[in-house]
Amino acid sequence: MKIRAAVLEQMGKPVPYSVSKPLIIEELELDEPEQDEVLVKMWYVGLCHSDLSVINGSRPRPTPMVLGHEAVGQVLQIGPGVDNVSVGDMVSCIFVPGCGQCEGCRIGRPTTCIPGAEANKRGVLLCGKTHLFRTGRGTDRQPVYHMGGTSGFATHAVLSKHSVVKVDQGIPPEYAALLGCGVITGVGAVTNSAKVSFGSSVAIVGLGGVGVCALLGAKACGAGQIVAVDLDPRKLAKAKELGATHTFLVHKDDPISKTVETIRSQLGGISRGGVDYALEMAGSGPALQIAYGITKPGGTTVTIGLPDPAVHLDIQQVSITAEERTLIGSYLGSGVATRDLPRYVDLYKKGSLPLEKLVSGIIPFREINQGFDMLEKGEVIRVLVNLKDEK
Amino acid sequence: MERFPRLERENLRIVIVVVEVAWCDMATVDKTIPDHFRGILCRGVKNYTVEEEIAAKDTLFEGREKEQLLPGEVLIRVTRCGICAGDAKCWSGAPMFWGDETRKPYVETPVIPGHEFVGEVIALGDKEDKSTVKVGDQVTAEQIVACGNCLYCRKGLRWLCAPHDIFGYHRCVHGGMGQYMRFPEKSIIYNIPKKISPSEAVYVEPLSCGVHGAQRGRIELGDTVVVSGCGPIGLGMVAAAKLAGPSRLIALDCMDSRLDIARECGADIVLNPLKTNVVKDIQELTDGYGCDVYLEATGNPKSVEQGLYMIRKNGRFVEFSVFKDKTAVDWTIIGDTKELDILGAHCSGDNGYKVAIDMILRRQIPVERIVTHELSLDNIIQGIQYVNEGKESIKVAIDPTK
Repeated sequence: MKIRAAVLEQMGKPVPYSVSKPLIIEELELDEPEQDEVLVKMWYVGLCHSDLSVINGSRPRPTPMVLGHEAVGQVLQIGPGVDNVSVGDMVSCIFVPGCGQCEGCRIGRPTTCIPGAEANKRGVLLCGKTHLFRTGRGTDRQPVYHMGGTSGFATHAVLSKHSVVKVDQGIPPEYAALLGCGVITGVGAVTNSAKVSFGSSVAIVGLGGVGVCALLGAKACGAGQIVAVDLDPRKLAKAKELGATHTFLVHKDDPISKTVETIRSQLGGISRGGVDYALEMAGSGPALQIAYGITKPGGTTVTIGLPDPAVHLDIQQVSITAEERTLIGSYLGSGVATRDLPRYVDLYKKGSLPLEKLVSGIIPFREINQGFDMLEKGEVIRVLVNLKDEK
Repeated sequence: MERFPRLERENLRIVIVVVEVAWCDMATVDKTIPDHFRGILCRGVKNYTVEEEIAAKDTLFEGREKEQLLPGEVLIRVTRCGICAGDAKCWSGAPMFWGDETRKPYVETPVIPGHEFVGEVIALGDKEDKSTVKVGDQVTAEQIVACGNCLYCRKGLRWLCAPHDIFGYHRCVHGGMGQYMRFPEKSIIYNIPKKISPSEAVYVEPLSCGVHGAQRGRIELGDTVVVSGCGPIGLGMVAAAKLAGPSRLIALDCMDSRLDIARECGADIVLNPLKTNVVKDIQELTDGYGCDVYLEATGNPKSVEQGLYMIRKNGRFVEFSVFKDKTAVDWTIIGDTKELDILGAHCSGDNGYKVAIDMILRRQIPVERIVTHELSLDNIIQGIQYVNEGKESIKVAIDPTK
């Protein structure tokens, strides 16, 4: 079928994106869903920094590619073998498809799925092929690549059945859009990876979309102190509004050691100046160094950041031993989407996870490049593209 | 000075200690500490008496003079002391305290009972700047004074200490049902901000146990959690479990009045097992799977069975209670049927007190609805009877200042 999609042809175009227009909305051909695949009408798709990292080339992917992975939509058609969703269901998209067969999937760790990671790396679906094509003259078809098996910046998408989770229609789709990335990653980092226990102290370094989700998660888990750390005073103000008990403004030109020292001395009474759990949610080397630095001896540091692959971690090695440190990598919240998403919807309905606070605005499809400008400037928590009203 | 002639007769170790103490500017001894004070003495089964003149020298100072507080010791004027179900059982003659064919007696008489205490610091063994507390502070201490040497202390499980000196049961650590108390050097002392009144602070110890019990359950965000038993411990578990963000927190009790309070503590659903088939209710709530966590705080064998039937496979079952009667159950359910995690819980764990004080400070539990009675020392037997009956009261406290 014919669809319209925002295609990224060239990475590394300069800001402002409203001028350089890295994403161009074009007509593409979308092949039918095959075995174990579904066709989804996209409704709302969030703009996430992982998309921005591809646009600015810090995390290169094969091009041309349709980005967008934090999405909610409605199932229009199911291929043979699809047993987890039905036509008409509202679904959240999960950008690491768990094949269900490999060792990781079998032990309840689908985020470590190898076939899924392979497919994502190649920009194809789990079946190994792309379903997106530019049609040229005659029968020529140029393949267009998928992002995270999703490619949400489009009117429609075909995904593996493993990439979608049915979501209760009792949550407005605008908030459901955030479940598949920001929420599952941020809240999961707190509850699955760090396993924050009530009464403990938690620091969140980086209060972007995912960082705010982690803050909401820490609050929901009963953290005693929630320490927000960021470069941007606006983000800290928002963090305070959403439940942070302490905020620290980082000055970009200060050496990391000075920042860590300042924070530790001001946190004096809590766990010898360090926190029980520090979560790095910014995707930057310095942010992880700060998070590591403010973790108490014996404490746990968690990172969800996906920086440029050239970034290497700079940590004083002796401190890992001497202070008995734990560093945990958390991908997609180390969660099981089919288990976690219904829980988060439940908690949203109870009022324990106020997802509505995450949506800074909804923009029409044609303003998608402006949306990325807003994200790049740190003006928003989460901006959604409205695809529901696009034919 | 009168002190020095005595010093010459002591052995070297004590001389060094006392000289250090005497030479320091230890202006922290309140000269108004009496030689005798009012309190309860546990003398035997159903033999708790109100004593007008308990000798401070014997009970607080281990035969020393009152000016000779050792470094690290703290003297408090008690403002409140709670009566635990354990105290009530001890009075009644329960074998766990007095011994039987399987165990030795635990309680050493005569002893001042009480381990749920709060008071004001009136004297310190240390110099003020070396001490973590100051004269005038409102404080409590962990109910157990851990030895630091046994296997459990060395493993970091001080609440399971082998010698197990708990205030109010062993004569080296007389308890809080009197006007004064001494915390020995190995005590772990907590400052309770004065924003918390003594009537609220008396609940810190039971709440710390509720916190530990809830922590043992490893509650995950979104879990379905059941707390069985809404006495002082169970209600504390409800409030603590609530903080962990369960999607449904269910409280069970056979008394509707206690269920009302459980709701105020944060329970989403309250059920009375005498009025409804609670196992069926929980299974329906959870699509037939069962609850994720069951916190048992009744001490009733029926509640144990009920919990084992309503918990899901691989769930966490926490047992905190002290039982009167034996429990019988087909043990197959633990392994082959459900592969359960059965977790015992005792006292306050590592940070139960810290979390409990914080919870009360942040008004995360309605303490005024839980501490229902505050009685003078004279009414100790009445208080014990309230606790044993468990109908009119929830937490009963003694106010030694009355």
